[in-house]
Amino acid sequence: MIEPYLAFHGVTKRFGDLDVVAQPFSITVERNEFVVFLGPSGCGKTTLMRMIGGLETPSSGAICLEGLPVGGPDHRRGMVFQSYSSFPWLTVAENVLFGMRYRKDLTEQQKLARRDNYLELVGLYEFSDAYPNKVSGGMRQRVAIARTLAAGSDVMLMDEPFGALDAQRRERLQVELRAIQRRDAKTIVFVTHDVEEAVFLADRVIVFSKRPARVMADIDITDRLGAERPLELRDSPEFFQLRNGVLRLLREAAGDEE
Amino acid sequence: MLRISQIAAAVILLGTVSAPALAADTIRVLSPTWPGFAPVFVASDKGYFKELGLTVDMKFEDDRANVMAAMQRGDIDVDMRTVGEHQGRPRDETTPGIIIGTIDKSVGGDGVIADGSINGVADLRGKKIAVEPNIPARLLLQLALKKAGMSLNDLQIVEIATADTAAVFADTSIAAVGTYQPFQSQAITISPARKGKVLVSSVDSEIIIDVITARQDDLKTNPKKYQNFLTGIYKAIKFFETNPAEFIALAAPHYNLSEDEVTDIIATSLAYTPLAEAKEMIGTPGKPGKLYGIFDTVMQLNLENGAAETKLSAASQIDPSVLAAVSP
Amino acid sequence: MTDISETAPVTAPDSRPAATAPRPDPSSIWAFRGTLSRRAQIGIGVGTSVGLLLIWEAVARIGLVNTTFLPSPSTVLSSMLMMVQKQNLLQHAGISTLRVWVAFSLAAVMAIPIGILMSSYRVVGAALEPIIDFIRYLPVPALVPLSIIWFGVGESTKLYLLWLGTFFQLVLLVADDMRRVPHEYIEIAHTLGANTRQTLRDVAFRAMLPGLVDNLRITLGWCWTYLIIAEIVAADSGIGFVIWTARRYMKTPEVMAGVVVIGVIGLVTDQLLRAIHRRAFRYL
Repeated sequence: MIEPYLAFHGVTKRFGDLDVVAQPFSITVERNEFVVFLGPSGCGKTTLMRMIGGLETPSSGAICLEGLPVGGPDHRRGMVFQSYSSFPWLTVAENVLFGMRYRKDLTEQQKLARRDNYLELVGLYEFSDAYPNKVSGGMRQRVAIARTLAAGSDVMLMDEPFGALDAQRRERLQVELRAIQRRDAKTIVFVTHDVEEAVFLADRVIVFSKRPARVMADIDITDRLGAERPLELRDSPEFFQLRNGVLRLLREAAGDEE
Repeated sequence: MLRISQIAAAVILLGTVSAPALAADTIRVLSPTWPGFAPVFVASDKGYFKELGLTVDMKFEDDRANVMAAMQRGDIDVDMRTVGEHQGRPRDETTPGIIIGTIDKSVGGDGVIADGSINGVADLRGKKIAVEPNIPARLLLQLALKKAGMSLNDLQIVEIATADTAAVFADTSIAAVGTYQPFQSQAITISPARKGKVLVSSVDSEIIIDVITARQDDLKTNPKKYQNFLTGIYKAIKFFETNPAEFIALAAPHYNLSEDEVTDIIATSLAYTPLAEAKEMIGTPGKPGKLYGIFDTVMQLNLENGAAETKLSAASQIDPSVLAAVSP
Repeated sequence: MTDISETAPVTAPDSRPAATAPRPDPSSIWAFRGTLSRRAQIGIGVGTSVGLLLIWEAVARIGLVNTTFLPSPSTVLSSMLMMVQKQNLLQHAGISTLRVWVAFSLAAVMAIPIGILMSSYRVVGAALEPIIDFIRYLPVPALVPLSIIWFGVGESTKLYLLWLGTFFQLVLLVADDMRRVPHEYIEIAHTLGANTRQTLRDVAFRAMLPGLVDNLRITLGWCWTYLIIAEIVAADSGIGFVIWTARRYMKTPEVMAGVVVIGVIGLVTDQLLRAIHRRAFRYL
């Protein structure tokens, strides 16, 4: 058997008396797979993702990347947050460059080349010298994505990164993110409570119950919608159908009170 | 007077909590901001101390608690204040500071001002009187009340800061204020509606005397230094008697006052004690002077009004040996 | 769909009832939470100040108040000129400024690292906060005799008292600034491979800097308010000394002149620091 790329092995997590995950649970993520953790607000999906990043430690069990248990945070597992995702005192270009600040294996030249490359990739090259407060919320999220990519992350961990954006910007960024992921071949674990976002972005959607979280469903989206996700896909009946199915599951997951 | 370099030096020294070394030729003085102590400045400015090989550093400090702290620490060698304040709590027999001379006496400089309707201390019974604790006016008031068969308990005492005299006297609920110059005159002028008058004044009393106090341990090691200090002071007082205008011109800038203001304060408030008078006050080791009696009277008053808590004997608080060695 | 406007004429935009409140004119200076140009702000500020001075002058001249307690601005100004010529007022002001800056710098140099540590390490915070909260409430004037026992009557006591009034307030403000740095910034730095020292230096400190500079500006003002207390201890120099001596002889115009000098120094310093803040933190 081939060792999975990223795996939760019998993980539980508790904060004091509060269980995030009560039952030991296991999931695996393939290399270059786009996995979305979907669940009701407060179910603990964010905590699970933070454990991958090394920002939390499991109470029992282990999380392995390429067969080795993950330790504290490092540049191979980058985070993109919903807010405060870029440093306001640095320009757009400086923010991206900051991603490589602690990498000693790159020369200054290489760092600058990578910076320009990723600025270009997320379409922010012309805003290089702008400060984050002078660009839109969507651009700020793109700065964070470019920084994480430039840092050399193999796994990108995204915590509701588009949660604060308006609908239009959100759609555009979703399309772009999916394209970047396809082109740059990145493994992405993405947390959201928005069903449409989950279905549109994911290769696989993992639905969690309310707290303490249990895996309710593991749905292969690429199987049904294919790997290419043009914007028009949202209007297709297949997408609708799948979205409604996941939505029903999520309602069950949220329990009776809603 | 202005020492920028000292501030820089202090930054380096801040945190090192050690008493400065004593110098055999330096005397550090703290005194209230009162022209009665001006002879020290004039003696410095005229070079009298220098002639005797003495350096005197005098700074202002109105708050007696701070002066006592400084002397306790050995940061200053000399304090100048009235006999009455000298006795105030928390002084006991072990507190550093012994009287070695007199410098001036209050002649109208301290007193109690009252509303026009008050004709004698007897009229103050049950009324509100404002006065700071442990100032000469309190003793004068107490002495006057005693003569009228009353005590401070027959009045309602309100405690104030003397610098606020004028503002307090403008309040008609206050019948009288115990104060000192220049507030005493100012308060009467500023509130003409009250038809204020001086009810009790140090002009009529001999008990308000400013004394020079030295730290015993340093006095014991360097008696000659203090002898020189007193010599310089009485020389300056003599200079005042022969040449008041020049004396005042030298003194005024130290107090940020004009010459006219200093002239006025001296004329209405005080008299310096020349060497002969000081000797009469202090006496000699064999023959105690007038100050001993005054000391005991004031001590009694202070114990009664609570400003002092330990009964001190004049003999333990006055050392006539230094002054006895000073010759004209 | 095309007929809706005919069946429901009330919704037609041009037949809207006139009863709605008139839209406030956003260009009016009275617009609620409106904006005002910088020039207009300065103009209004200067105008109000001058107006107040004129009223004050008038009140003093007409004799509505006793000029011993409230001298007119012109008297205060002429006292100030006299003090500059005869009492070395500017030198005293210079000495006071120097004292304040020395004591304040000392307070800042100590408070910044300690405040940062208090928010970075729970142990340090737990150990120091009760003590600092206690000392912070102590009345500085009451501690004067004690500080003379410790530091004597030289410069050290004056600097110590100024420091005392500033340090404990500043430490807590610094700790607060640090605590307010979004945790996301710290986590981003960690996931980029920064160690604790690098995270503190490159991210947390940078993030707290604008707030820190603002708090330094505010506490510098507090430091000045302790000047009188510090400079009447065994005094012979400084504005506090000048004010206190003038008060001793009820020279209100000179007291006011001294106070005004402090006010002017404060105003100028504050504006200067604000300008520096604006330039240094353009990204805000």
